[in-house]
Amino acid sequence: MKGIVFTEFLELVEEQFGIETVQQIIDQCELSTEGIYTAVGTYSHKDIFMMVQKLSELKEIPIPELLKVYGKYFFTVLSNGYPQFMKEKDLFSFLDSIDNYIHVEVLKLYPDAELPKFDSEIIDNKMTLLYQSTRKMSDFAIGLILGAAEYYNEPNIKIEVLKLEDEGQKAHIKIERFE
Amino acid sequence: MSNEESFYKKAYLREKQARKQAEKILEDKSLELYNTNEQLKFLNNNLEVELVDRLKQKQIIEQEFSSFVNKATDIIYRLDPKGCFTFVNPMTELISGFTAEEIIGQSFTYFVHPDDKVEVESFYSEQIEMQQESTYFEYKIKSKEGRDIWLGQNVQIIYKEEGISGFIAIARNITERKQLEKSIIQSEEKYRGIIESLEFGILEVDTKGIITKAHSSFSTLTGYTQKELIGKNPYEFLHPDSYALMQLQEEKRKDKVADVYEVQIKKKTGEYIWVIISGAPFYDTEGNQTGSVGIHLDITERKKMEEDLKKANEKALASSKSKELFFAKVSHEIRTPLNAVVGLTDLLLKTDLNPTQKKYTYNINKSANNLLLLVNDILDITKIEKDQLSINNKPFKLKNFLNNIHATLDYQAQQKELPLLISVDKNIENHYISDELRLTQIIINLANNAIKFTSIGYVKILLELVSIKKNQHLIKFSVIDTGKGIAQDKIDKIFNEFTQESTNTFNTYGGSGLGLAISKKLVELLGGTIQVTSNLNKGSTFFFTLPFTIAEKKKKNTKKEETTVFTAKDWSATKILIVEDNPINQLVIQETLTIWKVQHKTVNNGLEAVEQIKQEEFDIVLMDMQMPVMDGITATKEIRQTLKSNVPIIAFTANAMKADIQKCLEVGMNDAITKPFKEEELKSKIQNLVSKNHIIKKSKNIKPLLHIDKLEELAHGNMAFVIKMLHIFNETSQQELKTLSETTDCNVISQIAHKIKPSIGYLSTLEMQELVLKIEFKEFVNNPELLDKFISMLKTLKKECKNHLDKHS
Repeated sequence: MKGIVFTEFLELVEEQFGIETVQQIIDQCELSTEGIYTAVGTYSHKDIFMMVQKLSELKEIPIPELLKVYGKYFFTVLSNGYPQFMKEKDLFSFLDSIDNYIHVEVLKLYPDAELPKFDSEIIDNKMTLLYQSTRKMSDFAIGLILGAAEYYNEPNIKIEVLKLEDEGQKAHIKIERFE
Repeated sequence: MSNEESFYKKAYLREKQARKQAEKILEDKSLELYNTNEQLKFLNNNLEVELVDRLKQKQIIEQEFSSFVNKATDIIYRLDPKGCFTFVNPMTELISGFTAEEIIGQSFTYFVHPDDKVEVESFYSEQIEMQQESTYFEYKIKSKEGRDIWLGQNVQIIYKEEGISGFIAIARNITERKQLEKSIIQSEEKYRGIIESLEFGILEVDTKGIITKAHSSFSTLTGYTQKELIGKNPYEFLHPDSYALMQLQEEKRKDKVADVYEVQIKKKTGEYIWVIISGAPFYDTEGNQTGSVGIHLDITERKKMEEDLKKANEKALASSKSKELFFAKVSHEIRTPLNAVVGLTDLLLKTDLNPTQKKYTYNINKSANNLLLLVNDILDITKIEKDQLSINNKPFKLKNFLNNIHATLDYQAQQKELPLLISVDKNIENHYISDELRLTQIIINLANNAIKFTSIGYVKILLELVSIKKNQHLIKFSVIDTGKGIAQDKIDKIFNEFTQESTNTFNTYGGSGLGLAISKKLVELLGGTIQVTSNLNKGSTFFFTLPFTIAEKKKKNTKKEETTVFTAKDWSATKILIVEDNPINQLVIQETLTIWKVQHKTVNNGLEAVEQIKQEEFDIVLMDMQMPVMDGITATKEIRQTLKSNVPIIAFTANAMKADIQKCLEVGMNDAITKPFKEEELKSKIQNLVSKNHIIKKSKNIKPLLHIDKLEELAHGNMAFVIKMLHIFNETSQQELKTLSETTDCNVISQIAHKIKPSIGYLSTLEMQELVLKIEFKEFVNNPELLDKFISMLKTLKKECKNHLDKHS
């Protein structure tokens, strides 16, 4: 997993809960790097799970909630850092372009990256996304979608997980626009 | 230090380490980038070299391709999407006569022959419409010189993203092929036309003989439709009489023999027509016969004509035959009374007559003789005209021949007191092969004329040997006279028929005017040319040269014959049987023979002759041919076959035709004489036969058949036994001889030979012993003279036996 995910998580924790919580998480988790991350590096995804779980314990906030919040935050990081990928004019078009364009480009830069798959289908004001990843991070994906909705200024959407399969490796996500 | 401070310190340390980590990553990335850059640079350089290489290769290929296109013997060109020329190869220029400059930019259809324009345009619009990538089409163009050129063209459409980008075409000049095709079609049409107009009915059959194809011409010929013919057996349409021939022809065709034959076929109307079929087998490319083709031509008309011609020919032949018969009849009818006139006046002249009677009689005799000559000449010239006169070459003796001539002419020459000289080159042989009869006729004709036209001086017959070539002698015959000669202006016509030197000639000398014409023809038939030289009032010489083959000599007889001819003989012991129905002829012969002091007996027909010969032995029989009861031919057969007698028979015939004489000799007569006969001729013929018989008789005395030494040896001196044995043989042989004369059954004859064989073994010569064996083995069936010889020898043996018994009893 790319280092930016770790650095931005610890940044967000320090911002929201103070440096002490950061130190607590690092001290109480058996991290592969002892908490040293750089955005250009690549680290084990187990580290992020351990840190999210520790935060959930310390602050008594459910993991999915934390992942959604982080997702939404992370989107702003991405959209600021990579404006070249933000060509699409609206949310659905952007989501549709993840698999077809953004991930294709990402793989050119990071050939060893393990990216989730998004199959999309748009019918009128509804979109279905099929999330597929061995990391089982559909919640993080939903947070990212929420971040995108905010980016495109589309607050009137309803996101619903219709079905989880293979212990969360597959998630059918429905996004509906409403007036 | 507060908690917070220590947290920041820890965070600071983590950040420091994270920075180092990041720097390391960046350095690694930078090195990686450098390496990648170096690699890229290398690839770039390489790419340039490769590009140059590839460009070079491409150029070579392009050059090769261009040379190939330029040197191609086919037209190669390119069109833009609108159908205008963008490229042409040199062959295009060569074939069309236009230069590349003239062609490039022009529309493709510009060069197409006006006749083909519409067709060509529609063909290629269809190719484009149907998006056929490649097509082939044949059409004509008009060359710059205005010639029509046929092209066989492949067109390929070139597609690019935006659609058709052009066309590539390869075209071949197929004018020659097209012309050939055209000439083949023309020739086919020509021959089809010819065949159809020739009224040939053409039929094809397979190897089983079943009709596979019937041309319309055959339907026209026979009236059957194609449907009625195909699948049928041709025999259904054949006349049964033609089956056998057809089968034969089918066999022939199997042996690859083509033939022409004529058969009858049945038309649909039921009528039969004659057709001539030219049948020939035909083969597939491997040489197996796949069937036959028959060309039928209606020849019914021709057949009818042939039939008519055949009938006409038969009629003509019959008429010719009847003409010949008529001549034979007329000559007979004329000769018979003439025989009487000549013979009786001859006799009359030998009696006591007063001078007036003698003169009249002499004139009658002379006129009759002339008339006879005329009849003979007319007969001869008729035969010559019809090419019926054939040459019959046989060995003959020159001396005999000259003797005959002398004997015939001597009387006439003596009458005119002219010496008749015969002079023969001493190198000339005696035995030659030629036609003695015809040669005699020529010489007598010429010499007769010579005697006739000569009053003072002589007539000479001269024989000179001109050359010798192996066994051939070239002899020149000349008949020379010292007579009145022939005028120079007449000499050319002298050999023409019915021509005499002048009309006066006939009045003075008589004659038919045919003699020289006949002589000329006869000399030509013998292989020579007759010529004449003459001086008026000094004489003429007729001469000709003929080749003679030398005959083998029969030394034994030479001298004897010579002497017999020249020796006047006492014939008082000779006995002749005259067989003649005509009393006048009987009288003539009887008187003649009486003058010669020959014993003679006369009978009236063949049957009486046979009876007479049974009872009595004769030396000669003079046999008339046409007689009531039994004719001469039948009688001779009877004498030879039934009586088994070898008595010499001379045919006495009024028929001067050669065929008749031939017939006489075939049935076993020894000679023939034409009535009215010449005394000398009869005399020499009788003399010849009598002397021959005399020689045979003589030779018997020299070589006795009876040998009794063996018998005597067996008897051991008992002469009574020998006599008894001879008596037994005498009696049994008489019995056997009688049976032999009566039977024709070869088994019976063989049995007799078997029975008599032991006696002959004791009594006779080795020759007769061998002969009796041959008879027992029936060799006489194929060789009848063996039996004649055997009977003759047996008779002799019996006679000798009898003589012996008479001597010793």
